[in-house]
Amino acid sequence: MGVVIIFFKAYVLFVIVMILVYTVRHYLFAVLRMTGKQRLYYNDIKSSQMKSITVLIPMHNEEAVLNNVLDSLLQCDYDKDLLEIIPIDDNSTDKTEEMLDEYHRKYEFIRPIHRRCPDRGKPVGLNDAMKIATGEIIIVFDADYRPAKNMLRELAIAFEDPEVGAVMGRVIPYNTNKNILTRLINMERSGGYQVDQQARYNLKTVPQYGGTVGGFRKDLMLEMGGFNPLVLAEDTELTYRFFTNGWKVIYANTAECYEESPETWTVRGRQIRRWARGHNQVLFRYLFRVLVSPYMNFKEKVDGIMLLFVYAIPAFFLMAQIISVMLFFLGEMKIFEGWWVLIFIGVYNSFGNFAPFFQIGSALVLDGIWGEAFLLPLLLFNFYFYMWHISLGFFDAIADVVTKRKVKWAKTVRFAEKKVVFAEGTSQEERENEKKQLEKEEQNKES
Amino acid sequence: MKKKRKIFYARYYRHLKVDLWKVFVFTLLFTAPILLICFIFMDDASRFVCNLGIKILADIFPGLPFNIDVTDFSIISKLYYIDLPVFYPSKYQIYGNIVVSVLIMLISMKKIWKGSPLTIYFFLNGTIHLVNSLYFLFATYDFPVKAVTYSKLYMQQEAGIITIFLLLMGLCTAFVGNRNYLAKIMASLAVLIYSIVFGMTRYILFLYILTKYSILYVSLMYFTIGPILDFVYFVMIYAAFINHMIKIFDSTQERDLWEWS
Repeated sequence: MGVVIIFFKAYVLFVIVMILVYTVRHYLFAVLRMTGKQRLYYNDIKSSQMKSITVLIPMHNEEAVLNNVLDSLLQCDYDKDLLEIIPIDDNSTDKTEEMLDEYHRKYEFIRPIHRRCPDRGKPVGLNDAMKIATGEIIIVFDADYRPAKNMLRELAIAFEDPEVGAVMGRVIPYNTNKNILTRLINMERSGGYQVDQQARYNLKTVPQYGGTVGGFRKDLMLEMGGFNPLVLAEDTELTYRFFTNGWKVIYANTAECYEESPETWTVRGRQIRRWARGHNQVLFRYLFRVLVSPYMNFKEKVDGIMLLFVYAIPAFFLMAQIISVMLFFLGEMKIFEGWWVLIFIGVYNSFGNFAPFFQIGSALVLDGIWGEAFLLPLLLFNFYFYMWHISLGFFDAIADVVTKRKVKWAKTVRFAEKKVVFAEGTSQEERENEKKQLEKEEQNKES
Repeated sequence: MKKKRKIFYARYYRHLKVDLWKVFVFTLLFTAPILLICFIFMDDASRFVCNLGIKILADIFPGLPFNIDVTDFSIISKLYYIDLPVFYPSKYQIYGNIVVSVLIMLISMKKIWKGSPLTIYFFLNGTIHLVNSLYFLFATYDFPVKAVTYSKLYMQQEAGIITIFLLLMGLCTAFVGNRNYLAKIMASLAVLIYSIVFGMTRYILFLYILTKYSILYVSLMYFTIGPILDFVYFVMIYAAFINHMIKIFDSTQERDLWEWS
């Protein structure tokens, strides 16, 4: 029994130290972003010969939102002779196919592909589309995004630098004022991009490609075998694949794009669990490769490894919590006295999700968002939520490794309001009933 | 002549004009002395809280032996805490708490609430309380935590909370701008005052519950509504500070606060 207790205490101490290291890392990010000299993106480069680009938009039953992304892309100020848009209709059962074909009829450079096969998922869809893409650069958007007018030019210009393999833009939720959840996600996004990603770009460490609002060199990706369909987080995998092969991933804070964030906790929980599962799959595959990579310097390796463990820490912490309860009931609580418990709880609380409260606070100052800071204390409950769902995702990833099972792709539920056109003479009551019916269908889809 | 309108830098690459040397000096001149004062007066403050607590508890529970004991707080200071008798729960009380814990867990597991932050919070803490109640059901007198153990632990925690919070607030506010020292000092003082008042009130209330309703609720006090709640007010005070600073930084009154790239 004594040995077990010593092991338990050692484990808790290990987790305390780990989280403390992360807190220091985030503190440095906050200080450097808030007070230090910023590394600018390639905004001062003007090229008269922009590279040809292909925009890929993976879609599965996106009739509610696809107009937004396609109409926004049509407004973009990129030379249409150098632009190709490939919406990847992946086994949609709604009106996605008809709507995309209608766009194709109107605009020749919008060339949708309709996948009707059991092999579903974002990575395989992207691989199929890359094979027929004509652009040198691939830029990816999710179907619920609304790129700004200058977005394509902003992202594509980075590839004038021959060392750049991939670029990532900034994601900003547009449905911020829907409820508490969307407001909290907005703050987290702000902390994650304005401070975290920009600080990593400043430090020349490992900014992360996020799978959407970003681009990469097509030939490079095809040479490396395309996306791995066994990995759920194809974006994180791309980041590490490029870095371990000597290419850079950079971050463009000026390339802002608007996304729809989940509006219910159930959807957010599933999303986080899927991210955690995919990210940890990458952790298991790339930890050793990062350690031995001759192309990454010491700074990149340290940050790269810490980034790899980001979705494992909450699971470690949950286990430490369970052990601390056991120690409490065993009367072995000496370790939690005074200072220790404070560090334990302090760092865990400030850990939040991936952006501690001071990092989000710094981002709010930089973004000039007044009033939202008062939601910061709610991160406490958010943390329980993340700890739970991320831990489930972590154990999913372990099960993937042990059982070698094939991962199934799942799409995040969209919340954009459907545009319903009523026939002339439809009564108010019939309109209300129709709207209620649609809402019910959405809820059923969600559950 | 009409004053020229101030044009703000875009958010992309702006950052605050901060002299990190000044930040360091401010931290050294303000946070370090206030921490030192805390250490020096920690024993007196804890003795004051104990005297007040005993006065209140003795009035409510006349005839019960409440005493003051002393322990070390790290290597720096001494800490006083209230020594009080332990009261064990009755079988009915234990059964009642088992039923309530199970109900909380079941309600939390219901599909409609499944997965929300509060549900997870209640489910985890309901589980802890269930284990705690079962412990009392099968081995009441073997429960390792006595009322006095908790009392001592609480005092040590509060002392730690006050010092760590002051240090954290100092570090988190120091780099937010070159000036506005008053706001930074106010944030730290607010944390100090709130910690003392909240910590003292909760200490006496928890000891009252342990005496009146038994030691059964000790794990709830430790894990559910213990030090974790201190972080809520700490972050709230930080949030108020940040909100105030955002207003200053984006006002037309304050010039020269921002730099580009």
